[in-house]
Amino acid sequence: MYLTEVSTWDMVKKLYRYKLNSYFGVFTSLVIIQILSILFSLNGTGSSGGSSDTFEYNMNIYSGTLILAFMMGWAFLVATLITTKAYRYDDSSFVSNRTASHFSNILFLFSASIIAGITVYFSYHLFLSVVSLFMKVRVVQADTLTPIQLAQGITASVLYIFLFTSLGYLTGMLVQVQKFFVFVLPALFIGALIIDGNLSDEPRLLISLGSFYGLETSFIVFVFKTLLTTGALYGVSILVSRRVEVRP
Amino acid sequence: MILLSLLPLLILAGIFAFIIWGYRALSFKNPGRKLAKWLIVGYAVILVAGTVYSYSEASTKQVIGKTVSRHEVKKQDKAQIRLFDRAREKGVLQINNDILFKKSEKSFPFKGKQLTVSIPDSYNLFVDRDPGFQGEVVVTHYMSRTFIGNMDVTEKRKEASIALKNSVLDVTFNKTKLHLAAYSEGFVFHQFNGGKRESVWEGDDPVFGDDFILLKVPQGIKVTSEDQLVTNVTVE
Repeated sequence: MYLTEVSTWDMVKKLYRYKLNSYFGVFTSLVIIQILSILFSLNGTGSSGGSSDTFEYNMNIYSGTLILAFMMGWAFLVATLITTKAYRYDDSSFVSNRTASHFSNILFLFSASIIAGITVYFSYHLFLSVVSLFMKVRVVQADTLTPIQLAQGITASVLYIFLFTSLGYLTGMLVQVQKFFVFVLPALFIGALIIDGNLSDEPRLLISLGSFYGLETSFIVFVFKTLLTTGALYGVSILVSRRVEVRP
Repeated sequence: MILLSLLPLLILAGIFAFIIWGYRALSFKNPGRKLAKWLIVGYAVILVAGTVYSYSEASTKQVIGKTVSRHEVKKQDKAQIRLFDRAREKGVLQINNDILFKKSEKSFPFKGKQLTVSIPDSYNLFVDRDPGFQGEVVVTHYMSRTFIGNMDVTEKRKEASIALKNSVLDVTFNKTKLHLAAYSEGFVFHQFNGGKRESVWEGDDPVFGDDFILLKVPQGIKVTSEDQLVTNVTVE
């Protein structure tokens, strides 16, 4: 019996606010990774060319896809780090429980994904400006997006990044349960790729996984797919975390 | 040389150091909090400035060529083939400005009876004999349309060098070299376009237009060429 009953939702809110104010490094690393991705993208993400007797062209393709890919990697790392002891123990200095800690983490990661997803779009334009200012190229085509395409694109970026946070969170949790997962998970991943490559003429594992989300042309179905996967991965993470030791 | 062979190792070490540094930067016990705040705010300002610049200047001013639909590109490609076939087989050249682009036209006074045209092989040389035409020859450089993806870049192509010396008409085609860039926000912004292609580089093969020379000469002049077949046509 306590004088004041604290609901789980109140705990989640408090922890979430604390994390937004304290995990500053998450956002500085976002800046650094984005700058790095812009630098990598400057070389172009692809090229094509052709010639005839009197005409020759080469075209560098500058795309924001690489920036998004870097952000996915960043999201995975951030989510993995957030499951480490240093971060988990920090929650115990508050009046909280495991559920509150998980939900505040998920909320924080979702907020970070929103920021990352929006800045992916802005950083693409920063990259575009750098290319236009410092590299002498004639543009053959620049996208003109409709407001709906823009909104869908940013939302999809956020969801892709959020999907990777859930993957990172599960990986982090598994490692917290058993340290040998540090070796087992990469070995399983690489092993699966090798077996996939050996079993068939063309490796299909990553392509099929990527196509499941990347080739989905219906926005609503895509949202369902990513949210269901993300929810499932976070759900498994929460279940797995029951086996993680509590702070002594 | 030794340094060069060590370069991949150095890059790997650099990436590793960067990851360690990033890992430490992620710690919330990071002492450089004020610096971090400035970094984030500064970056946000740069992002906004970059976006404003990109929208106002970069993309719109430099875009070259006219964009047409993929359907239109295919239609044009087929029409070009038909046009040349008809000219070669039936001797009827239809000057359709939707398909052909008139790059240059030069006229030379000519009083001789025989005109030799020096033109590289693989280029068409069409001759139109005009009964009401006297004392001059008109040389027109035409080209059928060139498309890179769905962009019509015909007008960027260079005109041929044409000169008449004595009774030899010399035609040299100049090569055009284009260095281009295509920008795209990324696949995620085109994923829900209902299966439409992301951008120009996902289009079909480029369509390289053909250059040809249309020579308008008075009747009775014999036109010969060493390397190229002379096709007499009636212009429509």
